[in-house]
Amino acid sequence: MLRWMIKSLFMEPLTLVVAIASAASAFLLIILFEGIFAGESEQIVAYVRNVKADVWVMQRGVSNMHMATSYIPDWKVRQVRELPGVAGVEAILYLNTVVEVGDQRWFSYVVGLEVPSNYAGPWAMAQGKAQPSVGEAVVPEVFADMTRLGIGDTLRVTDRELTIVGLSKETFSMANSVIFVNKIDLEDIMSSFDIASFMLVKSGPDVSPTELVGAIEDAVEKVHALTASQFLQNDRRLAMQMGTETIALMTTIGAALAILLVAFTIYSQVMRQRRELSVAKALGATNRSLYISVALQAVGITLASVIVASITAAALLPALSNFIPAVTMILTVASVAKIAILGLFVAITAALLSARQIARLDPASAFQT
Amino acid sequence: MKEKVVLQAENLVKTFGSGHTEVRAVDDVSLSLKQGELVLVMGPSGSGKTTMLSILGGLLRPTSGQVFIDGTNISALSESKLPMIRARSVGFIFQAFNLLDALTVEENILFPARLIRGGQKEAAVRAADLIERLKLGPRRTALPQTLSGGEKQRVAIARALINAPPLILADEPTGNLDSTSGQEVMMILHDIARDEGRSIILVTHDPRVEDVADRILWLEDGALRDRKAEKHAWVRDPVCGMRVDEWTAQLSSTYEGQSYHFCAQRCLERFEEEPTRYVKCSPGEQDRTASSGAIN
Repeated sequence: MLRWMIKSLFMEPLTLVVAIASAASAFLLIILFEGIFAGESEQIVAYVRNVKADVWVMQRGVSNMHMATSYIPDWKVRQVRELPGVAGVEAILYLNTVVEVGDQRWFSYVVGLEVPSNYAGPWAMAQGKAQPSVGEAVVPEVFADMTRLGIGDTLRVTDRELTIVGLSKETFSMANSVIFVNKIDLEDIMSSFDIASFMLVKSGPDVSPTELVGAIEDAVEKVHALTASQFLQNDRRLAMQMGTETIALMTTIGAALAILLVAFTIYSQVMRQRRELSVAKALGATNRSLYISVALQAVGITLASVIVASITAAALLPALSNFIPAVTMILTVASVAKIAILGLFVAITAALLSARQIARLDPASAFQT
Repeated sequence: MKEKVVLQAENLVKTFGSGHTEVRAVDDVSLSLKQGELVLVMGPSGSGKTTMLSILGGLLRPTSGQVFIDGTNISALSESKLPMIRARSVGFIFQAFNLLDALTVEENILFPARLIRGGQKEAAVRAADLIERLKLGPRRTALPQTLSGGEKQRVAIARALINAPPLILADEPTGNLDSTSGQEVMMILHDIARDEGRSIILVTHDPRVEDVADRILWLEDGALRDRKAEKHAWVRDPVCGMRVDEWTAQLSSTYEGQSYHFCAQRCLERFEEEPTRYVKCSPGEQDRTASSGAIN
């Protein structure tokens, strides 16, 4: 029975290819949405992930960086610096704001660095210098390409014109790019002096980050300290939460599209095969065996679609990243596994839609000429 | 020794619709079929032959009455049990062959065997034997679309026999065949009944088949009746020259106001392509055989 069903599918190879390609397109859309979301989520936390701090210290009540505001007076920074087990502290000032370039506006993390900075600044440079002096800025290379800016050009952060002196790598995201400026400029922009937003603390060789967190919170009042991994986890969770509903909606639309396409293919196949299915029933095939065969047809088409979509996505992602550098995409095994499970649901739903047609087939119609 | 009854039908009635639109397609039909018997069911179009065949094969439930196949009352069986009865106990042969297009000759023959659990090796041996006997060896891996009408019907016969059912139900098995292939198919069915002891019910309009039948039943208005002598009016198929019963012939064509009757679709198609070739010099009337009337 199964052999018959499979061979029947291949009787019209063009129809089969179109069906697989159509369903694969729907799955590919889902994979790309997920890939973009995963990539962008990772880019949102790029700064937290890449700077070399062991412990992050911030205002009490704050537990992440994305979209957050934190103020710590300078004297508390000095307090932390003097604690035993602390190998280094770099204080940054931080502002979520819109950066204007011509008539374009970009939401950005603006990080004010105490220069010279050892580990709180850009971690990879494409061009220019990494340590911005007063009146200077380091911007993402992708950002500069998109806005047609280069070293020596200016951009505006709120009311301040800054000259671009360096182009950093891995710091661009559609949601928020990271722009580095001198802390003095940012203090001036924010009219907030003698404060920091976050302390990036390096632990000494004999102290673990967890021990240091406890020591800082015991010694310095009204601050919140987190290990770098906890802080990253908090930011990543927040980034994921922000897009979950959108991605869920996109996945639902993609899945519905795939269900429609696979169901239409299976339904068409059943309708085309009505006569042969009636003959099979007349010869002794049960409804159950026909359902199973049709369901397996659906699973076969869907599985092929998922494989085609996954291979296409794997081939497309690097090319897309080169072609559209503004978009960061990540294809994960979890994402493919999720699509495969979704595919199974699609196949079963599509097969169920044809079950009624099979049940209603009259075996006696095999006698009709 | 008492001959085994393979099929017993008792007071079968099948009605469609209700009230003013009620049609009694099968009307109180009773019949029995012994092992090895080949019974012809004839009758005019719309007389209920195919409906009766569907009921006898467990494809359609009668409104009332009972059908026993090999002693099992199939009318009392649930829907879920009927497919297995059809697969094991009944072999179907259709006018339109009804082979599965995607499967090869051998796979088509083995199809009903694969609907039954176990015995696949034995079925493969039987299939090989049937392929040999029905001269399908060179076509074993061919797809149905590449077969001639006669070959298709031989495949359908082999498929009907693969599970060695005691009962074969054939609906117009020669209806889509030319005279030579039709004759060949009839001889195969005759041999199956005589040599293998299979019981065959054969619905047909083809009067040539009468020669091989053990019994002939006449179905009219859904009921079995005595066939009247005047029910035959033999004429010759203008294409192949075979005799055709003018009154029951299913394939007819009109040319220059005159009706012509044909033994097979192929003859009809040839006639319609070039009627002047076959009408010749006597367009007024289709050549009639020496006598009109019933045979046997």
